[in-house]
Amino acid sequence: MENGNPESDDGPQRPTEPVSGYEDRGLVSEQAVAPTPTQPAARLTEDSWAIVLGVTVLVAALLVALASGDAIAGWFAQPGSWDSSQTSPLQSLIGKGVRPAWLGSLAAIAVIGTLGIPALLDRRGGAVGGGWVQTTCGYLFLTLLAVFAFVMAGEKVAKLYGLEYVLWALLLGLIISNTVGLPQWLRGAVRGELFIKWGLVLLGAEVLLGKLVALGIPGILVSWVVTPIVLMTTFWFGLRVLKIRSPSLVMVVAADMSVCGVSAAIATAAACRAKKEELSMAIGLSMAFTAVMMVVMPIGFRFAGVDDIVGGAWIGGTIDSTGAVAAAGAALGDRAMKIATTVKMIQNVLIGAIAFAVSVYWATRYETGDGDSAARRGSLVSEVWRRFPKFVLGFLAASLVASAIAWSGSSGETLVTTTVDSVTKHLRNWLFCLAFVCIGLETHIRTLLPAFSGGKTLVLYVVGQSFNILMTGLMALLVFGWLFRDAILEWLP
Amino acid sequence: MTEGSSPTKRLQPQRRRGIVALGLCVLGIVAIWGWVLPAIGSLASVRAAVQRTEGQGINAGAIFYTDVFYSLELRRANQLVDRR
Repeated sequence: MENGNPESDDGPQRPTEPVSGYEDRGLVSEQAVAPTPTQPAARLTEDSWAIVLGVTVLVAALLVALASGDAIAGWFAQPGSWDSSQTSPLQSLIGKGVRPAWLGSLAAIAVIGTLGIPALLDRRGGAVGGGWVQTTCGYLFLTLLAVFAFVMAGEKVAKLYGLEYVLWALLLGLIISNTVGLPQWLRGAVRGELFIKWGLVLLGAEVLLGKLVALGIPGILVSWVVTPIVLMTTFWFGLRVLKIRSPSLVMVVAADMSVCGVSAAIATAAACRAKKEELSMAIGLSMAFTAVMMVVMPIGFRFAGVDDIVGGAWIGGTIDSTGAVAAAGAALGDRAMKIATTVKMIQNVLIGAIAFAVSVYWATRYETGDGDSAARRGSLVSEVWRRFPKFVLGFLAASLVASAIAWSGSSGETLVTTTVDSVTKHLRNWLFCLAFVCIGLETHIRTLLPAFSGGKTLVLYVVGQSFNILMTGLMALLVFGWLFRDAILEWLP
Repeated sequence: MTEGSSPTKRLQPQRRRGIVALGLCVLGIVAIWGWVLPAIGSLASVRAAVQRTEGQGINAGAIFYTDVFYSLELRRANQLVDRR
């Protein structure tokens, strides 16, 4: 990130030539990386693979859900929760669903492997990691680490404090890479960016635009007015006041903190091609503060006598992680939980718009290169298109199609809900878990320090979150406590 | 990863240190998940909090709204059994 250059005071550094300085980026698009003479070019770009794989899974899942209805429930799963004080970790693999979790996990691993291994082989162009056998062995080893990450996250105390599987996946990868190193035979399967983009296309089907009207104008005011203001202010503060040199680091932290935690960080990091260390740093900060905020906020609101409806909206708009919002809201009461989760759901839907806006902004502002090189390659528009992360289009298309099906009527909404609940969200969880195992395996602890920017990243998060709490609190008081209070009381059971 | 004979000799202690460090990390994980978390989980206040969130079907580790209520499938399966 810093490239050993002294920090300048004239704002963020922009790469002047699109290729140089980006080759080592964990989430870089392949358009920026030219194949080396010894490495044959891949037939499909990584973004194209992500779209093809994502769309294939979505279409197949919709068709199967259409044909089988509720019978598809439990086909796919991941290891679930277990109580370390009462049961063994094996309970995590048994689960509580209609079918055992291990069976659903095997199905998910088989589907991702069958579709993904050809993409892994194509992406590395046959130059790294051997053939089918070695790549398959590498993939199976990654899934083993992912299983451990899910089991670690499923422990009830870890789960209670919202310590998500991505944290443990990252930790397991980091432990291996920083002790015995990344084995050569594993290198062909370690493609975190492919898993992330594929997972994001699947996530698109969960971004249902119809959810925007769940709370009407009050929800939109808290989620869609405050969030972009906080995001842009934090971005400006990080670049201009703290003078952090990496705009992508600032953007990922700002999106993570202002939108919806891990999922927003992943989407934004892929959209602005942040380094894997920057994504890891943003997620680590977010989880640490989420674990504190989800305990402190309900206690503080009770102590201060904050109304449960206002408190619910306040929690929904400020706590990063979606699960932690539900838990903190529930600690304040049933009405608070309903308001908090609905506000957060509307904020979750915002990640589609944020990812698209960040992609366009980055393609026009940070990735175009200097004027001469742009002119050499043709018009600015074609250059922007060349730089645009195409997988975002797959993400948006999945969201639009799923929203249209859900909007078409109750049977359409049931179809989308069944598809997401039974198939795509499980596959998406596996893909994100595999991605974070890969990120950990490719990261050395030393490289995390520059992403901390000498403490500036922590300051950025604290200042941004404080501003978020202030703005959301004012808007929640105005909208949920005064302007629309009667309408909200009618809406609640 | 292809090393000559003398770099290999130099790397061997480093590799041994790596394996020892990996073993210590694995022991740390086993200790935390095998002893520390069960001890925390058996505290009355933590147990009550776990029961409360579980009772409401909340997955506090959810990363998206579609993950929040983890017992949704279980509820659905029960409804299906009831209908049958």
